Amino acid sequence: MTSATQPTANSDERVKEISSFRNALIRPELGGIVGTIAVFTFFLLFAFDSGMFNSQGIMNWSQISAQFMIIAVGACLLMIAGEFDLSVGSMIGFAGMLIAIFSVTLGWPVWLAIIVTFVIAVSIGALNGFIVVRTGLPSFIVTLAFLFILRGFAIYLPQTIERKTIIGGVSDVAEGDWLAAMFGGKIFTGFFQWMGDNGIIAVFERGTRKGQPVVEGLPMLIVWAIGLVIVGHIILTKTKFGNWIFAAGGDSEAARNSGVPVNKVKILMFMFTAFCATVLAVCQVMEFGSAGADRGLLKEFEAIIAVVIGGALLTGGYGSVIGAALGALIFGVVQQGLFFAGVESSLFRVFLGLILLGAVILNTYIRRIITGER
Amino acid sequence: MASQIGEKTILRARGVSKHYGGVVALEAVDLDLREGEVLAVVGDNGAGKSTLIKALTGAIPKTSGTIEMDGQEVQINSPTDAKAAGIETVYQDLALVNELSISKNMFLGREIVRDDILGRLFGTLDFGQMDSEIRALFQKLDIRIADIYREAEAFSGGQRQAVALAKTVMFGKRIAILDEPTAALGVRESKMAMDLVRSLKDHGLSVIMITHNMQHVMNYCDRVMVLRLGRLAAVRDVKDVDGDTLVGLITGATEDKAA
Repeated sequence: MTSATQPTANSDERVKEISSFRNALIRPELGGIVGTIAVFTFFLLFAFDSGMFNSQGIMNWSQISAQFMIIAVGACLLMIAGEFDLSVGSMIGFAGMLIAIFSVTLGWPVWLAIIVTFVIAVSIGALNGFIVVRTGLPSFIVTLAFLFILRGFAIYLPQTIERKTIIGGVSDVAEGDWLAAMFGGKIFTGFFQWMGDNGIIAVFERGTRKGQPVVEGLPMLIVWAIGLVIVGHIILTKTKFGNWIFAAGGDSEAARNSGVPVNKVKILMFMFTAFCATVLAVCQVMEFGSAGADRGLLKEFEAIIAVVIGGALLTGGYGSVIGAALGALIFGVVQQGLFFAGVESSLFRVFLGLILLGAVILNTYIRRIITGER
Repeated sequence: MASQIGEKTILRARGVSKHYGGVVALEAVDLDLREGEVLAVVGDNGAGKSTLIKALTGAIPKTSGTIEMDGQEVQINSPTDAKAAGIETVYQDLALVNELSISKNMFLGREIVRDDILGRLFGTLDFGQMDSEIRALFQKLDIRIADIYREAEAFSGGQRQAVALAKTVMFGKRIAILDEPTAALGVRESKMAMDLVRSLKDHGLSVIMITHNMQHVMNYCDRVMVLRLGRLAAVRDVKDVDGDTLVGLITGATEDKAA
C-alpha cells in the first residue's frame, strides 16, 4: 500500500502516516477479537473444571452462540446498509408458530410448511424495507411497529386456533421429512461415534445408549450459523453487492449519485434479516418439537448488541460479519459460562450492558484513528 | 489553450426556463458548450446558476427548453438520463461515500467483476484489475493518493474532489458539471483542483463549472456565461474580459447586449 508508483506522494499528503501495527489494529473486528480472547481466558481460568470445556459443554455453548450468530449475520448486513430491524425477535416467534400451525393444525407436509413460512417471513421483511425506503421514516420506528404486530399474531393465532400458546407435536409430523432434517438434524454422526470409540469424547457408560458418544453429531443449527457467516462475509467483502451494502449505509445520496440502487439494496437486506430469523425459528421448532408464542423475545436487541460488539457502526457503512460472529460467540460463551461457573444467571444482563458500553466506546476510538483523529 | 478547443458544440441548450408557480427562477437561457472547453457559469446568489445546472441534468423538471447533444435533441428528464448521455455532475459533498476506501469509491456502481464463473454468478470483484486501473489513472492525472485502500474520509477536501473528478474521467464521461468545486478548499488545494479541471480536456471532457471565484474564471476557464436574475446577462471569451467587467456584469452595473 505504499506509493510505489508515486514517489513524491507522501510529501504532499495531509493524511498522517500510521504504523502498520496500528493499521492492523484499526479493524472493525478488533473489539470482537479482544473480547473473545478475554472471555475464553476468563472461563478457562475460572470454570475449566465445571464441564464447560468437555464435549457436552462445548456443544452447549456452541449451540447458544450459533443461535445468536444466525440472527447477527442478518442484523449485521442490515446495519451496515444503514438500517435496523427490531422485529427479528417477534419474527422468530411468529415464523415458528406458522410452521407449527401449518404442519400440526392444518396437517400440511412439513417441507411445505417450512417453505411457505419462509415465503411469508421474507415478504414481511420486504414490506418492512419497502415502508422504510418509501416513507423515509427511521427503520427503528417502522420495525418497532412490526415488533408488536408480529408478536401479537404469534400469540393470537395459536390462542384462537388451538386455545393455547404452545403448539407441540412437530417432532412427530417432521419424522423423516427431508427439509425438516436440514434444520433439525445432525451431521458427521459417524465421525462423532469414531471420536467416542477412540476416547476423544465421552461416551455413555450405561443404559440403552451405552457406547454411544454423549454428543452424537454436529447440529444443523451450527452448520447454518457457520454457513451464513461465511456466505455473509464473502458477499460483504468480495462482491459488487457487498460494496453497495457499504455504500448504501455510508452515504445513500453519494451512492445514488454513483449509480447504486440504494432502495433495492436496503429492501434486500431487510428480506435477508427476515430470512435469518426464520432459519433460527425453524431450527428451534425442529429442536424443541414445538412452537411457543414467546420464542425469540429480546432477540432483536441481542442481535444488534452482537453486531455492535463486532465493530459495526450504528450509523451504517462500517462493520464486519466476522466481527458480528465473534460478538455472538462472546454472548454464547458468557451466557453458558456464567451458568457453568455457578454465577447467578441474571448477572448475564449486567454483563450484556457493560460489554455493549465497552464495545461502543472502543469502536468510537477506532473510528477516530481511521478518520485521522478529528 | 484556446486553440485546443474544438469548434464543435457538444451541448446546446435553448430557451431553458424554470418557473416555480409565479416565480421565475430561470427565463429562456441559452447555453453552448464547445468540445474540450471549460465554461464558467457565474452570477450572484439567486441568479439561477444552480437551477440551470439542475435543469440541464434532469435533477429538476424544466418548464420549457430543449437540449441537444452533438446536434441531436435529447430528452433529459432525470439524473439517470443525464448519466446515460455522458453528463456527470460532481457535487462537493455528494460524490464519494466517506466510509468506503478510495479504490471502492472509484468503481462504485460500476465495479469490475471477475471474468470467470464466480464473477458472472455472484459478482465477485476483480480487485487487481480495478486497483491497477486506478493507479494508472491517478498517475496520468497527477493525483497524489498514497494509500487507495484508506477510507475517503481520511483525505482532504482537495484530494476527494480530485478523486471525484478522476471518476468522471475513468467512466468515459463527456461532460462534467462541477458545482463550486473549490468552495470548501484552501488556497493550495484549490489550485490543485483547478489544475486538474484544466487537464480534464486532455482526457476528452468538456466542463461546465459554477464558481464564485473570478480569479479561477480568469486563470482556468475558456469562456464565461453570466446569469442575472434568472436571465443570461452575457457570454464572453475569458481573454476578452477582465475581473472588473465580470463583476459589473454580475451585479448589473455593466449591461451587455452582445449575448
